[in-house]
Amino acid sequence: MRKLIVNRLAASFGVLFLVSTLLFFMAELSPIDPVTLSLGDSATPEQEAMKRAELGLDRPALTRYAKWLGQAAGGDLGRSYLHGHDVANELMRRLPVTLALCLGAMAIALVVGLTAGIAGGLQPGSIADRVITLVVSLGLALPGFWLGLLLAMAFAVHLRWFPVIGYTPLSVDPLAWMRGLVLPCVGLSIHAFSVIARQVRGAVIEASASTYVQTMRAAGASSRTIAFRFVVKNAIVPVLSVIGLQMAVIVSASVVMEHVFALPGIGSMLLEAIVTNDMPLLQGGVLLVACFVLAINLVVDIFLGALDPRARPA
Amino acid sequence: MTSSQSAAPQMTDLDATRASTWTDQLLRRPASLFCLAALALLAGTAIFAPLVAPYHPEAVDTLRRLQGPSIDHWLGTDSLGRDVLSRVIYGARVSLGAAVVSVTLAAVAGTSIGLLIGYLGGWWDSVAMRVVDALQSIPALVFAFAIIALVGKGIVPTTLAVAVIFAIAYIRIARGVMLRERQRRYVDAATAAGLPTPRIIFGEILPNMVGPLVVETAILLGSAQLIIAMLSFLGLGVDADAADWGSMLNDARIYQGVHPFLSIPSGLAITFSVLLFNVLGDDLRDILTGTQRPAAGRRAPQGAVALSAPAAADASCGVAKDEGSQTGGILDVSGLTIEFPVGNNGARVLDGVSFSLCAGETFGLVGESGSGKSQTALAILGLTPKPGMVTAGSVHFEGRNLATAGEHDLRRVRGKEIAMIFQDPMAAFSPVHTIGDQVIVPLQAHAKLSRAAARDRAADLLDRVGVPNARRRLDDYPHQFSGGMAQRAMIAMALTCEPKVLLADEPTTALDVTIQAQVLDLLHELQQEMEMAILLITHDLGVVAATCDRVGVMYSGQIVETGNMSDVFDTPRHPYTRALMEATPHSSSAFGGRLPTIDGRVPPPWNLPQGCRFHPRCRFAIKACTVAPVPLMDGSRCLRAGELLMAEV
Repeated sequence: MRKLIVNRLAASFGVLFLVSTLLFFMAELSPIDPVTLSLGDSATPEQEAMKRAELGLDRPALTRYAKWLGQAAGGDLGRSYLHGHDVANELMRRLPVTLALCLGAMAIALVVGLTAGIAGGLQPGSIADRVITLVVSLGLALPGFWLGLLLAMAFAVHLRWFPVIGYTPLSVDPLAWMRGLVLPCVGLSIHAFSVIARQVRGAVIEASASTYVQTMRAAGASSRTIAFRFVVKNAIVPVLSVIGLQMAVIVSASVVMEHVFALPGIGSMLLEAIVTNDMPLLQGGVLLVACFVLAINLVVDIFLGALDPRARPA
Repeated sequence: MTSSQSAAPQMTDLDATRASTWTDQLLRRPASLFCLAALALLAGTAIFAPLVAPYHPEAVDTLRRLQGPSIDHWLGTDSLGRDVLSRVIYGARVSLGAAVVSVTLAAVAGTSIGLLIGYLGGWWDSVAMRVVDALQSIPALVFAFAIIALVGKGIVPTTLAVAVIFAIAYIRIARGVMLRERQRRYVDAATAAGLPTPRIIFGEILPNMVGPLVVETAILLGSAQLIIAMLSFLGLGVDADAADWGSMLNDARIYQGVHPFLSIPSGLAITFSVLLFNVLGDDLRDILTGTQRPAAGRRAPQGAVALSAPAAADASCGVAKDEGSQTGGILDVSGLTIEFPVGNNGARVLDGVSFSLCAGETFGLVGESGSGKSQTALAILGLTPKPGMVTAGSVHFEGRNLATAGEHDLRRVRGKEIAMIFQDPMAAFSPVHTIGDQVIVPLQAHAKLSRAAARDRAADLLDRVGVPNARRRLDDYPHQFSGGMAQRAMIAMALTCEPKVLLADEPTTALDVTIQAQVLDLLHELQQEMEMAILLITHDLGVVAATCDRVGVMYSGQIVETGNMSDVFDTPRHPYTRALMEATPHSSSAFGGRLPTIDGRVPPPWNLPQGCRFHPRCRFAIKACTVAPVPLMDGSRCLRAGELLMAEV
């Protein structure tokens, strides 16, 4: 198991290096000149040259790449072109919001998705299964951000159970923090929930039809033992990668949900960075999202190794 | 508009028949038909938007901002007083159009790349697949952000971004099919015939992937709409003023406190059109993956076959065993009939099967695959797979009728009184649980032993069946066992509760020939030790000759001949038995290889021949054989049993 974790960690760092390289050269390829961006059109050539030197843009790309990479590894992600904020600080300030939103949505998608998928798959064709299948079909077609709007309309505007928009930090008021996150988390989880429930249902049905289930039945095991000791574990192994991908989708879709509920997280920052072409901010944000996704993949691999002996390195 | 139509012209004559069947099937499903009609309507609305829409989508009316539905504006107005209905109608152009364009681009580019790397193979393939794997680990939305950040906002970059993301899916499918198909014989034949490579790829191989590509296209058209709407909602996709469902939702977001209704029309429009594509894709997938399933309405009616007399000749042990043993059968199966619902009639997979198993004896059930041997064993334990049902007959075990017993009573018999072992020991164990955890299942179900005690017992048994280092190997997984060792473990599992009857379904078929003999010897030893009866199911007459006291030959769900092993072997009284024996290279060699096939196949239970079920394959068949079902008489289900005996060479 330790070997697996070490292997995966090494691979993750490789991918991270690849992503950061891509991000750097993406900024290089961008037609937007950061000097014009921060000074505006009216700057004199002298001012522009000074700014260029200040930003280090007068040196060759490879030198800047090496420097950028070294600084990024040390946690220095540069400064925003537009506000001059330190990017790393900005990310740390916004991280708790996105983290809470994503983890909440993941928890909902996992718990509800697994439960629904297992319940439906163990009794295909039952009334419960039909209801679950219907909800899942709707969940797959419904845009999560529209659901967010509808939820806000029903539970925030009309019933006033939750705030319509905005975010209260945990340190200020834990209850308000939680109430502010409920609707965004639910809205963010719906698509992942639907995919997970659907995949798990199929995998449970497939596992239930396998020969080893027949062996267990012929051995006199109760259907409860067979379902929860043998079928569920076998069903989860093939859908783990899908579950991991859905967790990553939650992370990226958090951008949209932060937009709906005006949450000051990484997502709204990324959106601003794209709209304003603020490359350092964008690079830092994407790098952080990449770390998040890699962490998810690592967790998935560890789970896979724990559940499936064939996935462990010999 | 629909993907199935766009794919149709690419098909060759060879595939035209298959293609017409799946499009026909699609059109026969009400849900698919509805989706196709609704999509056609949607497409028509989009194309003829200027004729359908009551207003121009950008006609501003500042006096009537954010109004609810009215006669003038059926779906109300937006923040600039523009008619929402008209904007939803025009929005279909942008939303559907962008989705169709991006998916088409992805399909063309992705399929070509996939075909190419699949065809080139080797180094090209492995490098390309690494890149594809890396790209696929990036969530689609983040990918789209990166492309938009690089190229800029707008509908064109958005469409391109979505196309790049989805091309990956097509690459995977096309490459997979390519790798599979290029090993097929027809590709060799085409190459040998001197067909140019592009002709082979596009003319011969491409038609084979039309099915999966069509399914993927339907699903991706839905996803593309969702992603494009999401990007427009964020203000990155379509221009904010343009009529598009995503940007309309963003407008609704801003005014949700004032005019909450505004999000409903465009939200419903997205949900509905994505749902149409998803349902269509699911139906297509069902049709294309489930083609082997017998469809209703094509079967010959089955009711013509009369139920044969359940009280068969060989119902008591005394008849077939030697004079000394007078015990009644420990397990008496009589008239056992199982039907599966197919179409309007039931398909009878077992038809009046009767035999008795005496304590300590080995009864062999022989026959080709599809003759009902395994169904018989499963039915004894009440494990007939759904939707099959026992419709007649009984299974008497120690005074109880298992055929009518409830699940609770059956569970107390399974694994404790009657145990079963299966053909493929690797498939018969769960791959993600240790052997130890599985071998103790019967003990935990019946003996209420603690886990530790159960493991002790399991280790003893594994040792007894000849698994070396038994205790240590309890913690191994099935993939760490060889086939022979896994079958020994399976036997150990079956014997943990010392059952009186063991149902062995092809216990040696999946094993090497040398291992087969060892496993059969082991079964024989254990049988002596535990005094249990064995029902041995096999297609291998050599195995029967070596191990069985009595034998029943099965064909097409019926026992066609039964008797003492030596009698049946020396003087077969049914042509099928005789054919089986002639097809065995040396019926005297105990552990021979597999049987070569007899001409023809076992008829499927939903399409049985009139009269004797074997007559179409029987070289002794006469007209009388085709008229009425033949009953089992004096151990043989053949009208000419007597003549056959005399004609014996």
